[in-house]
Amino acid sequence: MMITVNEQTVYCYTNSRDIDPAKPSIVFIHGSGMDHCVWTLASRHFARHGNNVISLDLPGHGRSGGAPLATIEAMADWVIAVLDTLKIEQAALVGHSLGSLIALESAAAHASRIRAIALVGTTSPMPVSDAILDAAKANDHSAFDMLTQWGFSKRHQFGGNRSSGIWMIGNTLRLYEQSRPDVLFHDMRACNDYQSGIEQASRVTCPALLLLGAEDRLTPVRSTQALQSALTSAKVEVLPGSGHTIMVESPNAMLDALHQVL
Amino acid sequence: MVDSTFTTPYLIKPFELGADIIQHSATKFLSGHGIVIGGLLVDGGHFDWEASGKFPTLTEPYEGFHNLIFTEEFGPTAFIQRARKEGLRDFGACMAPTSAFHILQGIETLSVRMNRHVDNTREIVNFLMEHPQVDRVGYPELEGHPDQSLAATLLPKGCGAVFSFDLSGGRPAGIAFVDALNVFSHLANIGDAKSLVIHPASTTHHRMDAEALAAGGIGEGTIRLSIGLEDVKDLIADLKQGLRAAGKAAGGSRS
Repeated sequence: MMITVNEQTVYCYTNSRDIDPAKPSIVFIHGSGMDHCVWTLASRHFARHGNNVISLDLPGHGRSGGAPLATIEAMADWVIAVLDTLKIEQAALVGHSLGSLIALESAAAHASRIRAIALVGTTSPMPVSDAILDAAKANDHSAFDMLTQWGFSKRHQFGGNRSSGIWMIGNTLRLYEQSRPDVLFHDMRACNDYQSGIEQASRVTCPALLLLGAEDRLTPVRSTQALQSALTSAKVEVLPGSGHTIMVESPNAMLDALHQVL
Repeated sequence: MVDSTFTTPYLIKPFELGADIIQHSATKFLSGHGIVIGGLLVDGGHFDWEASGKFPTLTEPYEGFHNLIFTEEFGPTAFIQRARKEGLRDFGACMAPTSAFHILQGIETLSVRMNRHVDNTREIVNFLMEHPQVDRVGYPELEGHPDQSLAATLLPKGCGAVFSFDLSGGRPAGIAFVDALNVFSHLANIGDAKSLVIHPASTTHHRMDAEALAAGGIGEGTIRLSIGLEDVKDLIADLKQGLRAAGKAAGGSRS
């Protein structure tokens, strides 16, 4: 549905349903350059299992208007503004990559509004290589290619989608290609510049899940030690065979893991 | 939307030329042996269904799927998701594992086979062009073919291995030609490893008279060939004796 947040018309996917105040709410937040489509399975699953589901298109992304927000903090504030607009007092946040940092920041800075967080394909800090930043800044297609190549396990470069016949690499490339100019760069820079993640993680008190891909090359498991130590409430699940794009690489294992906190 | 069955992705890549959806029969060159039935529908993920405004089945709530809107739900894969999900749900389409195996096994040798298909076809086209009983050969690489320059641009590796030619002598010549061939198999299929032949006027289009055939671009002596992977000398030898039989039949019908 289209909603107005901070005087800007933006889109959130709700599984074609109205928000029911009696149900718990889950907000899904996509990663850099993406939109709500990355959460198709998870959002539909949780909508059919008794939840309000709100899969966001961040400002400047997908069907949402406006310019991309510059910092993780601004994005977290915006997520809370979405909750305000939808009159949702408290929600669980599920974020992938960039979205995981937004979920983390939201849980620390707006603790009373967040009942649980699931950070999928995450790490903190989340440095982005100069090669990707430069290509994204130049709006060069090679940024999409690099992210797609490193964003999946080596095995999944050759297929293996549980939804047989649907090419996960191709779909990801098309989503990047549909992003507006400069959007990917803004997102990646925001990831790169977010330096307070560990400090914020130590403030989080709500239930948390770190859902990691054993073969993730963008946010490798080995880089998550500081985050794991700081986020004391977190359960940690490492999914074998999955790269960074856990939503399509390990869809069923992801749903099982999310049920631990949602 | 492009049917790329005759070319396969080896000879042309329609997405790079602006196509949005490609379909293939996998029964033909892709698998290359004509022993399975299968097909492919490939969505390039580029088409903006909403902007076009002509596809409410993808852009409006679909009650049969709990008011799902495919373009919102799936973004770039809206079309192929509906094609797949509705096909599976409503028709239960499921390929036999052996069929899938045969197709995958065939695709492994696609490039080698297509080169051979094209090489053999070119030699046979040249042979037929020189033959006195052949009135016309329709292959886009030939001088004077209306699509020659387009084919040179789009299909530089070759124009595939299916083409038609017109025998002088009409229906009796066509029937006698097909009957006399030994290496070519008389089949309505195309794209097998073996060479295939059919005479439309006496088979697939036998209910049409000469006028109706002509309106469809088919002559009474038109023969369609699908050139296979055999030694081209054997194929040409077979065609020669078929042409001799056709000549006798045509002569006989005149006398």
